[in-house]
Amino acid sequence: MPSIPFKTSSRVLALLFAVFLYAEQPQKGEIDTASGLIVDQDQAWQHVRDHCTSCHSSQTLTQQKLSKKKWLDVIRRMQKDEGLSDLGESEDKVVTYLAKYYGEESKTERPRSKRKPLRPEIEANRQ
Amino acid sequence: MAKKERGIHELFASDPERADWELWTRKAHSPSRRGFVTGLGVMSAALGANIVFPEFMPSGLIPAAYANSIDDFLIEGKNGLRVLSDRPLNAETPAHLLNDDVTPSERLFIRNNGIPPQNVDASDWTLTVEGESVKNSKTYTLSQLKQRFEHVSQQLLLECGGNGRAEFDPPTSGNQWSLGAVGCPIWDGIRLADVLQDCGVKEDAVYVAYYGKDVHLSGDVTRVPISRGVPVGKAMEQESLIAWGINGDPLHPMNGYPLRLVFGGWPGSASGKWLSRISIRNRVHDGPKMASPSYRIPCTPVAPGSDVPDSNMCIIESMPVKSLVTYPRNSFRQSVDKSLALHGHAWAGDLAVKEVHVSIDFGATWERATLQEPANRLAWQNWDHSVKFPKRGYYEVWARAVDQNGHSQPMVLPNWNPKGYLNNSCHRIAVYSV
Repeated sequence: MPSIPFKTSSRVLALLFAVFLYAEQPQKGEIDTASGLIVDQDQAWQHVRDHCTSCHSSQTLTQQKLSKKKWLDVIRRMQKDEGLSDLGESEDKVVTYLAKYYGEESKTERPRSKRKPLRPEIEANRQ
Repeated sequence: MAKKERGIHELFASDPERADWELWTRKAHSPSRRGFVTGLGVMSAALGANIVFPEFMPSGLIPAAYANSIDDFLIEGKNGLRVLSDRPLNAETPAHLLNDDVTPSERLFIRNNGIPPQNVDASDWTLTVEGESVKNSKTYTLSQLKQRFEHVSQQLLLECGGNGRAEFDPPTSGNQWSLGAVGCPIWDGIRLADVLQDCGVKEDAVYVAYYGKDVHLSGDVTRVPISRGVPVGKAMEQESLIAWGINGDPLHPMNGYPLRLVFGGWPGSASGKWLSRISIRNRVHDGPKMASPSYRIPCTPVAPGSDVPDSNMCIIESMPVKSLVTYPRNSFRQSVDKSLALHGHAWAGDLAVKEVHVSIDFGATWERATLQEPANRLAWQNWDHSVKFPKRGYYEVWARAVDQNGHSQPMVLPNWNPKGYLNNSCHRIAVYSV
């Protein structure tokens, strides 16, 4: 059995290198290509990157749509069970940022509700 | 370094416009979503040629040069899975790729909590049975397990407790699984009960817990990423296995190679991977991810969005009745003068499925599908039904299973719970009659 499960295509690597060369500094509202986080004016995304993505990738959080309270609950649970450190002055920045860009009312795409009709053209890839 | 581990198809499948930006720094014109504001140079350089009609190229389109030359998926031994996160690795299978009656290893979802062990040498692998309620603690090598106990192969359903989480409203935290964190391969191994009895189980045994060789995401080796299990009654069932194989092959590295537990019909998290220790406990196990809110639901139903005290959160055991339409795929185009042969699977935790019903008129009328017996207890059951659409137009195929006790899948969402477990609402697909 292979010990390393990932097969990295050299073409993809070359592409990524090209992106690295061409990518500009991320602007407000764009996505930082290295972390996958939405870039905000207050630079709170950098606090999220530093505190949250050292253990897990940003996809763990960018999938979510949670209220500010629920985000704080998540952070408390990560501190209680998973060894996340005290965020200090960063905590409010982090929670405010997460609730704004990955909040319940954010525009992050969600799958359909059972109460709404399908949008098959848009959602075909989800199946 | 997330992107190196994700295939181009997965990037585009999850968010085409973001993938455009990440791979090509491409922004398209708004609102046409065609052409290039930025990124034409990058894409042309990567392709090694100029794009002749760049103004017409839709955003989110994978250039055919790459669509044809790069493997569908870059996790070796897996094919067509949609990646939810790469660290930890979590990936699900689109419903139409679960059409096989026995799920191939390459189509089985991945749900990791920690970092899987690297450079596994199966010849070195050992399993220790210990705990307050073991009579004689023993350590077995993998080859001793294979020599000393009767071999069993059974088709057993494995589903993540959070499969379907993405539909809950208000949203709940965790991997936003849609439909595909489920599969039903044939597992090769031995009965857990035979090994437990070889060591001896004391009268006061309550729970059978596992520990695996995966490492906490932080890299801290003193932290256990996950350690769960099942009550001793479930552990002693004939279908509870210690498995080394899937469909006659070794386990995939992401599915627990070289050894794992399999408890059909219960949350997948009970079926520990990279199994190295079994602890027979004299109490309900208290390992990481046993405490609330993990793999627990309110003991009594709550209003959506409620805060639920830990004292009202109960451990999930057998999972509820559920089904999938696996053929055809969503948005299928069907000739109006031909009938369409639907296919799918249905399962019901510890129970059997009694009936599957199909509707093509938004639930106004239902027809009973042909339902097969399971290959063995705790395997999914295959269903078939032929439908003919009365005229051209848009239809939805809905499927609804009923378990042996008469409990049906809900058409809308089942009751909300704080972590979004056990969404067993009906699956539906769009069909265009043309």
